[in-house]
Amino acid sequence: MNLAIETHGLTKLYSGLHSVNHVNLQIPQYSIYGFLGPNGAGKSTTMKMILGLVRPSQGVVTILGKKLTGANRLDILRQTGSLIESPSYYAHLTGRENLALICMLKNAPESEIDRVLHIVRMENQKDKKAGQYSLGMKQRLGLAAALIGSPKLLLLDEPTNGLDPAGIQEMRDLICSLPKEYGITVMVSSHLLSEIDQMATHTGIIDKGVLIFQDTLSSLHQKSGRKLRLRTRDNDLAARLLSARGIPIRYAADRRSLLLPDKGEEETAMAVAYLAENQVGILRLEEMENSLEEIFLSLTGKKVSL
Amino acid sequence: MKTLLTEIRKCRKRKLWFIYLCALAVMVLWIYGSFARNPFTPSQAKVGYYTLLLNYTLMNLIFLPIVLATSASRVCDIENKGNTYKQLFTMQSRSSLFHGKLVLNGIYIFLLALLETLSICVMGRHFHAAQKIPVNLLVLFFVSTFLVSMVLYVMQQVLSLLMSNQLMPLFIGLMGTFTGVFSAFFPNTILTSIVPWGYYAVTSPLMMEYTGGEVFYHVVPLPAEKILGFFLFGLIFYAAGFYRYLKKEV
Repeated sequence: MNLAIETHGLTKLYSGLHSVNHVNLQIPQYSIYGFLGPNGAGKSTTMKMILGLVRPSQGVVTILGKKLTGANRLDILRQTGSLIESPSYYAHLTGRENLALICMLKNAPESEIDRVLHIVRMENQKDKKAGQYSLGMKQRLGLAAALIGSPKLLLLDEPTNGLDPAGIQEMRDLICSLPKEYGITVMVSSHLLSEIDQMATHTGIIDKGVLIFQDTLSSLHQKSGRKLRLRTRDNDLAARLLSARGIPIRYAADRRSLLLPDKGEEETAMAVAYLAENQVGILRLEEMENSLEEIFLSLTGKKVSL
Repeated sequence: MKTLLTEIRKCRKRKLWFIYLCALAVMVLWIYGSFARNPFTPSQAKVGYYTLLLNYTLMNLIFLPIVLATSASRVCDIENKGNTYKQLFTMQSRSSLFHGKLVLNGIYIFLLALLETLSICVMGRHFHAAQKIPVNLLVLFFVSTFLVSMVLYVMQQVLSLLMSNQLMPLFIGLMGTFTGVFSAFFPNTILTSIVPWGYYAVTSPLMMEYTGGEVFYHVVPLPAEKILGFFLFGLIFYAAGFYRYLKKEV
């Protein structure tokens, strides 16, 4: 597996306290890597260390197969784009002028501007001053700036922060299209599992500076014990029948439905068919989304407040 | 070169040149107005260029520290306000950003000092100064205006880059103006040595003396140790400030 980003023992100490503690990231090429964690877990610091904006106390960063050093940092980063925390822009310049500056610094032709404006759907606002943009437009301008120079790797730190629902959806669609359409590997951080769930192919979870999980998203769902909620006309009978088939059943907190583990589509279909054969009327069967709190609980055994 | 062009493009709508142009216009008009109302008497005309040089030095003391603080604040504030460091430092080195701003303002300061010097010649001719143009003193005025301004500008740029709130560097520049002017009226005291904003006066070799209701001008040797100490201070401030800026986390 080719890795776009790899870190070994990446550590950052502030006043002797670990902000990031020996993080070993492995981000496959052409993936969307969701970097998940509560606020203050160390996501932004890790991303800043990858970009060389913050000096690591310890550890090594390798980007696109090259070890990041002070000497080659800018050469390597020329193949990346980033949007860290909030978008960067010159309020007194128009969107187009802002992007022209990025083109100059990245040695990219100015024809790139129209291309990236088209990608982020901002052609009509390009001549407006960036200071007059809404937060959503500023985010899109930030993304457009990150896309200049056709980077192979994009690092986006909470890119949907402050966006309205339509803007969030638009940003998500945009991020999802990047690996397929432009061959870009994306590392995107968020504190919302639902957001990562809708975008990422791979995920890493960080808590208090420690990487507590890293794998594909489907593997996370398996590990976190995703459940199905079942409501029938006779829950007691359904519970007895399914328990007899060896399916561990428990009642939901409201006692009006049953919770059973998600063992895959085939097993679910068989269980439903079995209940139907035994005249148990099925009213509702739904997949239960685990909250990030529950996933943290299942991974660490500790509660976390998000 | 690319960094300088980027800085020029960034500052195009910030009208940085306008600050320097305004300062030059105010200084020239002030001096012009003053001599238009009280033209040189025949005895004053004999030392016309000395009078003009001293007046320009006083104008530098009054205006340049705040002009330099304002221009440093304007070029650095666009980065602070726009939160641009974390984007810029993935595309250019910290050093190139710092020196790009320094060179851009250095060009403006050079042009300001040059135009000021030329305006002394024009003003001297216009008000019929009977004295031969003191080329050495004019060159010295140009060099000292440029170099002292560069040291003060470096101080202001370091402060503006390190402080996100630009009120403080501007306040320091304003206080510098007051202390600089104040120190010029107490020559040969410790105050003139320790106030960097007063070095426009320290680097001027002209001394004015009132005796019996008449004004005499003397060309005195420059205090080499003081001036050397000042530039050493500038160098240390630059090195320490630049180091702090390089270490600043974004």
